[in-house]
Amino acid sequence: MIQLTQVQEQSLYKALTRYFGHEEFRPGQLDIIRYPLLGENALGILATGGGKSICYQLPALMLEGMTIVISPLISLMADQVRHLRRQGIQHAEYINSAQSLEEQRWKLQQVMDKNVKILYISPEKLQQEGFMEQLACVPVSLFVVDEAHCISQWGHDFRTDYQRLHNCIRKLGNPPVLALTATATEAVQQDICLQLSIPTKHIVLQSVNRENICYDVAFAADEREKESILFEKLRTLKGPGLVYFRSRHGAERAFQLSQMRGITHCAFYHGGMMAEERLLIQQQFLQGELDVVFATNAFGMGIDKPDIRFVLHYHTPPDIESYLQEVGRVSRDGAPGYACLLSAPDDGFLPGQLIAEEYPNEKQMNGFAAFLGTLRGQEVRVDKQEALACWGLEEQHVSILLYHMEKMNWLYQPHRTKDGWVFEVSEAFPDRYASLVRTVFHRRDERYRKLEEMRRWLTEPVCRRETLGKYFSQEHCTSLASCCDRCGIDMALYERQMPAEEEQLEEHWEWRQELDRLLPIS
Amino acid sequence: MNVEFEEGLFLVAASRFHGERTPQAIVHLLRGRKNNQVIADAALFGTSMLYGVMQGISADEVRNRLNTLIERGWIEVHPGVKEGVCCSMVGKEELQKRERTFHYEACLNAITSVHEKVRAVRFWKKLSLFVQTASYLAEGETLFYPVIEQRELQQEVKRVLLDNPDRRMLVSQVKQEIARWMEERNDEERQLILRRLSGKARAGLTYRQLADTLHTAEGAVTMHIIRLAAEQLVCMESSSYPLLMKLADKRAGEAGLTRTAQQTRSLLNKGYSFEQVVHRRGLKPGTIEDHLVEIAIADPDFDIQRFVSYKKIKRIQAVMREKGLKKISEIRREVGDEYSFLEIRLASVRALQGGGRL
Repeated sequence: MIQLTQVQEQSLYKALTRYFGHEEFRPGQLDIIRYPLLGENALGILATGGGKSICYQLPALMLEGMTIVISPLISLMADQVRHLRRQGIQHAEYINSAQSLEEQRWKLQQVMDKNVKILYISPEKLQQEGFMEQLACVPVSLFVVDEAHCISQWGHDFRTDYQRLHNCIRKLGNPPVLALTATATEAVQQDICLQLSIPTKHIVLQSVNRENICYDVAFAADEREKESILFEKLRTLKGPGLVYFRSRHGAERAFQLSQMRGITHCAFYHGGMMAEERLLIQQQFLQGELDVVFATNAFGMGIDKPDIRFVLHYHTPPDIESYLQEVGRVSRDGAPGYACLLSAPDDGFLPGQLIAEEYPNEKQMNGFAAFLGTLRGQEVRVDKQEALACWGLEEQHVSILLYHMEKMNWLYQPHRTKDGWVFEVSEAFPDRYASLVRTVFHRRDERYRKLEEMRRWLTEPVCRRETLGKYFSQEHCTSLASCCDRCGIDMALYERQMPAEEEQLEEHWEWRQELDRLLPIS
Repeated sequence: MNVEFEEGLFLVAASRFHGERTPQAIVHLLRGRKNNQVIADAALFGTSMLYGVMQGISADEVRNRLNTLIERGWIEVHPGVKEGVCCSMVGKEELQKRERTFHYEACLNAITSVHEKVRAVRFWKKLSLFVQTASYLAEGETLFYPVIEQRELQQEVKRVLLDNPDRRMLVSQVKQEIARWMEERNDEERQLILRRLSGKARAGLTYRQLADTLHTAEGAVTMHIIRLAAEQLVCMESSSYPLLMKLADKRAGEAGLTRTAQQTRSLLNKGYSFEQVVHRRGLKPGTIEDHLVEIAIADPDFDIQRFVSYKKIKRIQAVMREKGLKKISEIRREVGDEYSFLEIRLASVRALQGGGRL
């Protein structure tokens, strides 16, 4: 293993304290950080909640030049930057295509003026050539690929834009690469290393077993029973906690039901809410004003709340990776935490449907391909709006199609523009598209298979922790408190001493008191 | 509750347009289309408060919701060369019911132009960030998650903070001024303002949470907060709120004008005549006329008498008042061809701003 000098290691600890207020590294962190500091490529696998961010934020602050972080979700980027600023680290920015051009330009100028130390970028932004050219003028000391499993076809969250990252890295002068993920099966790990030129001996694999989390599954006969289980759990469990839904509607509905039951201190949260409103809910939760948030998976990614005591899943996630990621928000402080998935016989429908919607159907594929077939040998621009209007293709559908068509040499050099894509259609574009349909459906079926695996985990009569470990080729057997429902749970560990009080009447609101609370003057 | 509130928005708009605009004009207004005509209409009919309230919804969807009310017979469309949209008798009754719950009129009357709305929103946002900052400063803390993330607004707030280095003074002064503001308001209004604000001890409520607390609609809460901010801005002109005043944009400066109108304005300020501006900018006279109207709406102090005589202004405004006319072409039919469209447009803008400065 690569070693740092003693002096280097000392300054590393100093920086850890100075920037993040920690005295010690968590398991695996130091092993990962060594590589970027010495200019080597590496892949780090740490459990969700295991302190992944510090693995690149710390080297980024210590190295000369700028660190680029590729992150798949805009909300996650914003959360990370907010979080860094909250810690007093001001030189962090993020750029993605959702921002106004003016805003992007201003931020890019900050980058050019070397005022940015850590720059978060969405992968599709890197596909824009003009942007890439300007970025290439700035010295980049570290290139971080967060959620690196997105690069692999075998991962649960494959993103085609991630596939082209190696080109970007080359254009930036081959800075050291640090790939990070919490969920990578062996196949995915190999894929990441291959695509990002990481020597396999530079894989730092930390157990993704979260010893302090207890895994429970509750089976309900139908929706109604599921609801009553949910509210019984909310009544007895020690908070604060999160309840995850796969749909916005589900989260809002649960909130309404809880209002009807007189449950106070809860709120809902999803991506359909305005940014300012979402921020307020996050704040209320962080500041301990809320006990429960009913949320879609848009919530919690970047939130650093160490004392979330339970995570309930009202809907079955589409794969084990997603489940672990969401459950990983429980008890980051190491105290015992409780996770429970609520399952009913007929709720396999929703995740399956969501997967189906992610892929174009046969008619859409044929329509789009037939259109390109008339443009052989030409440069073609496809607009997002046009794709939706003509073939009903969403942005992600087009990305998937272009990706596979490029692989099959039906077209060349696809890249992003502001409102769509531009690429060159091959002279040899075929007349029949069965192979395309087959490939895309193969990918979709792969996802169904993962869903099946998730379902199997629900029903298999063996230790849940062990099965989760096996899924990632690890051995998980130790648990801090209770292990899982198969091994037996001591619910007293996770329940509150006193059951929740029934609704308390709100005391009389008085504006002067409120103002005093807002602006206390000692 | 929310549906009811939203139906009311369509009804208010239709009743204000009163047959003088097309149904599509309602869609443009509610979606906040960035277009001089839409902004000028909003000022003309006193509907600027409604500008952009359905920003996040697609034009088709807004049109669908409007059509539902037309089918229901609440909103009528009169055929003609240009269709005219208005409220039916039933629609008016429905509107009255909703008016009692949501008080649209008070909101609409608080704002006379889109620019004023923008100014009120910006004031409210800066105030929210300022109070949050003060709340943390009161506890000696400087790091927190800001409730307002627009950089430009953050920087403006920062400037006010830097101008007031004595933090204890700052906190107590902002507290005093807010207390004075609250004394002038009823309890529901106080809740809207104070519970929405965030501080160190607690985060503010979302609009939805506020609406649930006060048993009203989310949209109504949002609109009344803007109303309160707008009314406070007016109030601060005559009475002394030195600190809060620093958070208000200067009245109708360059802000809010399109860049091209700004250029026209700066040439006018240098003393160029209308024709000279047309020539120097190489634009059509009609475009420059649009700029003049845009500037007049944005800036009540803009002197329109360079373009239309005092006598004509008085006559146009009298016709509008006495005959209840708002359509430029109808006004022109009344006053005669010696009045240009530009003259009528400028005078009508001022008429709605309560005469403005002549």
